Amino acid sequence: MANVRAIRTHIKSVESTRKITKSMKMVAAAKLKRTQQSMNALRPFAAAARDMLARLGEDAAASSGAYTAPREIRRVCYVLFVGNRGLCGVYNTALVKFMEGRLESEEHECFLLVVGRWGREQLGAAHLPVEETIDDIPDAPSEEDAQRLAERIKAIYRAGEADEIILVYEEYLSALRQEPTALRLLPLAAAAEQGEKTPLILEPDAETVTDALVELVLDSTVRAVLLEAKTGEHTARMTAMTAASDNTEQLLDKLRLELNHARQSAITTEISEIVGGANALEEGKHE
Amino acid sequence: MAGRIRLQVVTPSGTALDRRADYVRIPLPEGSLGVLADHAPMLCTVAKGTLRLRDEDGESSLAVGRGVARVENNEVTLLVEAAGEE
Repeated sequence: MANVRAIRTHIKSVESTRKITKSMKMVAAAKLKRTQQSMNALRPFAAAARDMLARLGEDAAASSGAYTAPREIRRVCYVLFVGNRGLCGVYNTALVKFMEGRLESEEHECFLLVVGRWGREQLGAAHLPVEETIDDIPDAPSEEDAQRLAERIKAIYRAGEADEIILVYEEYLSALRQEPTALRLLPLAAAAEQGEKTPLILEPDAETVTDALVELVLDSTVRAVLLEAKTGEHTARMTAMTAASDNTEQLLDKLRLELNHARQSAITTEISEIVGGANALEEGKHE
Repeated sequence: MAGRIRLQVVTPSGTALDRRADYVRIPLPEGSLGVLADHAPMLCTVAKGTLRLRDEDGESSLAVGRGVARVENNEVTLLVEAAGEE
C-alpha cells in the first residue's frame, strides 16, 4: 500500500536527520570541552595581569601610552562576536537584537567589526553598519588566532579609526545561561588600587613596564572574550542539538505507531478480501 | 624550612609553576634580577630566557618567554607567554 511506503520513507528521512543532529551534538560537545579548558586556564593569567595594572595605578595614568590616554570620542567601534554558523538556538539572534538596542541609544557615529562566519551570511538583513567581518577564526581558537584578532582591534584604535572600542558577546554565566553583554576594551580604564602603597621599582623604566602590561591586559581580555563567546556558542549548539535529537525521537515514535496502524489496516483489508472471496466461492458451490 | 618566597609562573594556558623558593633569578632584557626574601616591591619586564630558583633541595630552572614580573610581599609572580622545561 502507498500509505505504508510513504510512512517508511518519512521514517528513513527522520532517522537520517537524527543521525545528523546527534553527531552535531557530539562535535559541539568535543569543541566545548576544548574551549572551556582554554577559557579556565586563561583566567588566572588575565586576573593577574589586571591586578598588576591596578597596582601600577597612577603610574600607568602618568606615563599614559596610546591605549590609556582618554580621547575625545568621535567614532565608536563595536566588536560583535557571533558564531561561525547557526543551529545554536537563539545564540546569534539574541546578540543581534542586543546590538540593535545598543546602536539605537548610541550617540556617536559607530561601526561594527564582526567576528564569526555566521555574520557574513546572515547579518546583511539586520541593517547593521558592518564595516569588516573576520570569518576565519576556528571553532576552537588557538593563541595565535586570538592574538591576530587582538592586533587588528588595537590597530583600529591606534590608527584613530575609532576612539572607543566595545566588545559585544554572550557572557558565559553557566551551561544553561548565556547573556549578551558589552565590555569596553579601549581606552583602557585602569582601576587603581586604593590605599597607601610602597612605591614600586620599575625596571627598566615606567613606560616600558606599563606598555608591556597594557598589551598583556588587552591581549588576554580579547582572548578571554573570544573563548567565552566560543564556549557559549558550543554550549548553545549542544543544547539545541540535544533538543532536536529528542524531537526526532518523538517523531519517530509517532511515525512507527502510524506505520503499524497502516500495516494493520492493510492486513485487515486483505484478510477481509480473502474471506469475502472465499465466501463468494462457497456460496457459488451450494447453488 | 620551606623557601620564604612564593614563586608563581602563569601563562595563558595555565599555571606552569607554583612553589616556594629561597632565591629566584629572573631573566631581564638587560641582564637578570636576583630576588631574595624581603625584596622591595617591583614590577619589571621579563625577557625570553632561563628562570633559576634555589631551595633546600638545590637549584632548578625553567625556560620562560617574554612577559612581566611582580615582586611584592615575598611573592614573585611571572606572567609570561610560555614556560616549559629546557
